[in-house]
Amino acid sequence: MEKKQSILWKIEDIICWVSMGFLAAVPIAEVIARIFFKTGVPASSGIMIHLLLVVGLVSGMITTRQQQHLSIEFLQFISNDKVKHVLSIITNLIAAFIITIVAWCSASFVSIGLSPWRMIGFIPDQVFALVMPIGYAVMAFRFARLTPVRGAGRILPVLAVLGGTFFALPAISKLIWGFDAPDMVFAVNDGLSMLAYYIRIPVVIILIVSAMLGCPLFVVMGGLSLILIQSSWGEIDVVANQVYTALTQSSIIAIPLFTLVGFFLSESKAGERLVHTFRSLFSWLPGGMIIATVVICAFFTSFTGASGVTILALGGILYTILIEKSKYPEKFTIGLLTSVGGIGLLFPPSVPLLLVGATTMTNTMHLFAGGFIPGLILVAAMIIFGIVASRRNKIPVEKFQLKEALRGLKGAVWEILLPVLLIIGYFSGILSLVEIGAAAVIYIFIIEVFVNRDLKLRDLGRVFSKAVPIIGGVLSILALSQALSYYIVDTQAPENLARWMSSAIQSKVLFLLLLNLALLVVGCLMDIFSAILIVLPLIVPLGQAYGIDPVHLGIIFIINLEVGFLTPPVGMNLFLATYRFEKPFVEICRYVFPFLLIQLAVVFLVTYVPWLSTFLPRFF
Amino acid sequence: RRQVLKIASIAPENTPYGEFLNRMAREWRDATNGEVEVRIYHNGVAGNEDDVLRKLKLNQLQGGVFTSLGLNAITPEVMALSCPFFIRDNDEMNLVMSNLRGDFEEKIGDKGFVPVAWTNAGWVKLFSKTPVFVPSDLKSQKLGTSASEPELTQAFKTLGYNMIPINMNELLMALNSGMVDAIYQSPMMVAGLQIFTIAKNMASINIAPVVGSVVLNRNAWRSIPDKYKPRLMEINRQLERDFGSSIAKLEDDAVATMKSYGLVVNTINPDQLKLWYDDIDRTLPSLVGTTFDRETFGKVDAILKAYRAGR
Ligand code: NA
Ligand code: NA
Repeated sequence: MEKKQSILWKIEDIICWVSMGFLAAVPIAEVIARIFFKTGVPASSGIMIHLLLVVGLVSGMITTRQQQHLSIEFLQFISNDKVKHVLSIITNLIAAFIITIVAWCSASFVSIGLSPWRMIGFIPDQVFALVMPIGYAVMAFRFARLTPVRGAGRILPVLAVLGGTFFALPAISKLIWGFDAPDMVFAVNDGLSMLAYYIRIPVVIILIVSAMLGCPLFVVMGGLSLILIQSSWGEIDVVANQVYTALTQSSIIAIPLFTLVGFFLSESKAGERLVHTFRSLFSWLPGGMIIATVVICAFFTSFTGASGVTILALGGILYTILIEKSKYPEKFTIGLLTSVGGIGLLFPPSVPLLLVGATTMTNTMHLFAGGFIPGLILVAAMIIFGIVASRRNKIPVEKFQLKEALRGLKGAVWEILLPVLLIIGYFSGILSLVEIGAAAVIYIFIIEVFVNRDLKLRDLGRVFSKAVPIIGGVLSILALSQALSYYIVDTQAPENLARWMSSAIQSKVLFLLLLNLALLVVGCLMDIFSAILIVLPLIVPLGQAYGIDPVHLGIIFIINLEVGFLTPPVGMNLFLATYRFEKPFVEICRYVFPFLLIQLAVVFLVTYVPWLSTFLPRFF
Repeated sequence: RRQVLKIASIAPENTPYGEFLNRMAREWRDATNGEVEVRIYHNGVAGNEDDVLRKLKLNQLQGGVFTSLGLNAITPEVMALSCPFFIRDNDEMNLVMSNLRGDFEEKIGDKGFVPVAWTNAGWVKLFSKTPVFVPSDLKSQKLGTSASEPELTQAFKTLGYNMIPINMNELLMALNSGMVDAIYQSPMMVAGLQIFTIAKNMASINIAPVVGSVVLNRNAWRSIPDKYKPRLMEINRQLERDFGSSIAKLEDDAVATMKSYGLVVNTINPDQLKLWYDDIDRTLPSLVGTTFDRETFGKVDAILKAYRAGR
């Protein structure tokens, strides 16, 4: 049994890794074909987006197996084991129940929503899409299995799956009878809609509470969209359609690719090398190590996106150097390291900015150009504060040693070249964004395995298995939050809100102020990916109504949420720092406070001086 | 019981398309005494054409506005209308549609959809960095094509062009970097995507008509009480007449605006036109039956041949 299971897990891992390998290889083949044969790879775009679908679902399965889905980690503040146990039972049961419904919706979607004659290369679309019902069924099964129950309690997960199947009846009946279900089934479906209508408010409350208690966020989003769509007499299998739509967008392909690059960097010794290089370059300056810290963290975060990885990968070494070598106070050091984690989000190839582009249909190149000056201001503000602090603490400077500097530079030259090459490749237009992501994966693979030899080929498994839960976590949320945002579109609430707001509030400045405040609250409650996917679509029509440049709006959004990483109660970086530096949560919040104030000041500057974000995009 | 029809469109609300749909919603409601409520989702908020088509199949949406791209995904016969350099001007297009509209509606109906209105929204044109007058001007260039239109790409490949598939949102960059030298696209899209700032030349030749159709799914059509249907179709015919010219005029407006920003329109003279048409006539036999449906293609061809002979 155990053995069989581990073989299945291996197969799952290999499917996921091979698909990701193809995501990197196909675009490179495309570039070569274009340059040498003046043609493309046949059906490559169809193959790529369907590989993404496979990666999305299989990585979601693996993430479920490893219990690493993104959630609001309030559980960690509960020390009572009994309470923890009960909460874990409840959240797993809810997850098994909801994902069972999503699995049935996926089955109905694949049979009704797709055309049998549409081929991807030589494989029918419908065959590729089977990964959806299979993937969600496996996830539901895993949530059921992971429910920590014993004895008679083992009936509970079974009931959760059966209950999910019953509430999926509208989708199942479509799967069997299409739109000509027998009268009795039709009556039951109608009854379910009616029921959903009457219980929708308590259910929404229960779901939100379960999110607070640690239920995976993608499950909560799936649950919210199912109940809201069902109670508005919609078709619940549209939830599966939204998953398909979200995971077959070519711009999303860049997300797994850049995440993979991030883990190649963090699993190799690149971080250490970069720190030594920057130290040898900057430690003669007052606050030189602060400059180095800010620049390195910005660089790392621009690749890894969700800034958590930066604190985890670099927090340790930077902490040692800042405290032991440079003698910065601990309070200051932890505050700095926690608050610089998000600073790279405005620089290419920032995944959140990519997502903003995809969500608002804004040209990503314009967004990257627009984020550049605000990003620099943020970096500069943090550096200036660091230098002032280091002056006040009388931190000694080291003598500049050219030899040391050159040696350091040589050690990290290939990693330093990476962003340079990517920016040139992208802004010159030689490569498309996905091709850049693919090129970056291949480049960093060659550098870390064959040039620097930090990683052996057998270490690749480790790189992939660290990257997969992050990719699975993000893509799972992305897929089901698309369903929730479609429900919101369906209600026409954004247009109505925009109409109402623009008649109630005339002043653009007042609107921007409200936007700042609202986004800070959002940042207090949601992670950045969920916020982009759920909240941004609501704001876009408002931005249009007030005549705000879409690039400026995107930058305001990201920079606001970046600060949200640092605001309690839900601040991703605060949590990770609590874990990384082994300090109480409240202490971390206190250390971060001065840095938070500075970042807030930059947020207001960027919001009320649109020129900062709209100047550079004019040149592209 | 009140019937709600949700109809999605990728066009913005403040265009003739948007007005067409808003007026249709209003007049359908009035004509059915409020029994049929039409809700329009403008501006692509409900998804792109592929996505909207899937939502129609699931019955989450009841209707959508489709161009030949989406219609082709419903039923491949419609593709014959989009064959490059095949239908050549508005007169030919009107003639083909007046003869074959019923045929297309039947084919689309077989797949479970009901077209309730048709419009012609101008013509796909060629935009390039250097002027193009004859086919050989273009054959030495890299021609960008939408990655989601394999049939058209195949047709152009067979004609002997260098086809480079790219994503719509990367068109401008692809042109800027030299990944492609020319693209074919509707002038409204070119204006919207600012492509004319780089591909400054437009050839006057029509490549293919841009067809648009408001399509409902069969469920939605069945749910409308039969007594109202003739009146609703009458309303739509009137709307087609009222908006036909203003939708076609969109193209002229777009071209005029782009001209004021430096677009050059290169007029292709009759001798040069003949080179393009000879080229396609030579290649067509190999495309029919593979890329384009033989039966539909034959019908269109017969109509065009008779018309051209009698002119
Ligand atoms: Na926060
Ligand atoms: Na947060």
